Amino acid sequence: MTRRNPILERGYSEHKPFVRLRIAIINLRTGETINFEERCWVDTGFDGGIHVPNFRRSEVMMVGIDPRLTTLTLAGGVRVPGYACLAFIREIEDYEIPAPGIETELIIQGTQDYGLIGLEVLKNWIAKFDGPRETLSFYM
Amino acid sequence: MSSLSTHFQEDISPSNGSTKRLATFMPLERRTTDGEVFIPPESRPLESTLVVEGFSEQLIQLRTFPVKLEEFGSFTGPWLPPNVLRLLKKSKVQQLSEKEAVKLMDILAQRAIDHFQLPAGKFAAITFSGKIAELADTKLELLKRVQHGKYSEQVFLCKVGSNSFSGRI
Repeated sequence: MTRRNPILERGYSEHKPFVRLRIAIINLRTGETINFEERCWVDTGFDGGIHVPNFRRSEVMMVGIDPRLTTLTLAGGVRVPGYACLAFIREIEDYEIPAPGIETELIIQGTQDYGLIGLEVLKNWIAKFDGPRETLSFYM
Repeated sequence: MSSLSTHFQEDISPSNGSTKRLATFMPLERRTTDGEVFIPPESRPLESTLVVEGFSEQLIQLRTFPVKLEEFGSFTGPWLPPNVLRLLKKSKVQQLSEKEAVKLMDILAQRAIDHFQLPAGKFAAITFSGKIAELADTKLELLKRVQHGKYSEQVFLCKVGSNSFSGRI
């Protein structure tokens, strides 16, 4: 059997699998970087990278990056406009990801007070959802 | 006496997407010595046929060929349809609703995808005049390219063959 290296194990929050991420937006031309933390719901129904609320757009623009307009499908099949740009995940809970981090898309849309992590990020790890114990574990 | 057939060809100018119709005339049938009309098989009417009386009291057959635009995808009209022009005009003076913005991007993306025959699965950045600004195989590649791209007009991102760039697809 293959040995798995645990990255994190944590209990659900409000009966939902939330994790804390540290996300970096890097202007690859100037090297300017901005970091922010986001509490994200691990959502296996979301096929993208990270989804954060709309107020993050102004933070992203502070380093000279202009997120581009696009269309998204939300739960329930509703299609809405949103913004997308490139981001790097630097930390998940207390696990620090080796530099430059996990490169992924950042979707900026909505007014919810939490983010989402989708399949594009989850493909980097083995995720285990323990329903009865309400714990979430990630392994390498 | 030969009658004439009209062949129409659509010609789309790549520079502005405008369409013009070119007509050429060619002999279609010939009359035999006993007065019967012989129509060569390759010239026999296919679909719609318009019969016109008149010219030197001879029967003239004008054939209208079905317009073939397969090589241009399903693009048949002017480059930007009136509903898109209306939305673009509206966006200059007031903010579009989410529904209108999605509709605008949908129509523009579909037109551009059909016109340029983009393969499904590619990721594209399209301008609001329907031009392809960037095309990439992966989402991340496209995001890297558009991050610092300077475009003369605003671009939006789409996935060819999918109705959304991201989400619950």
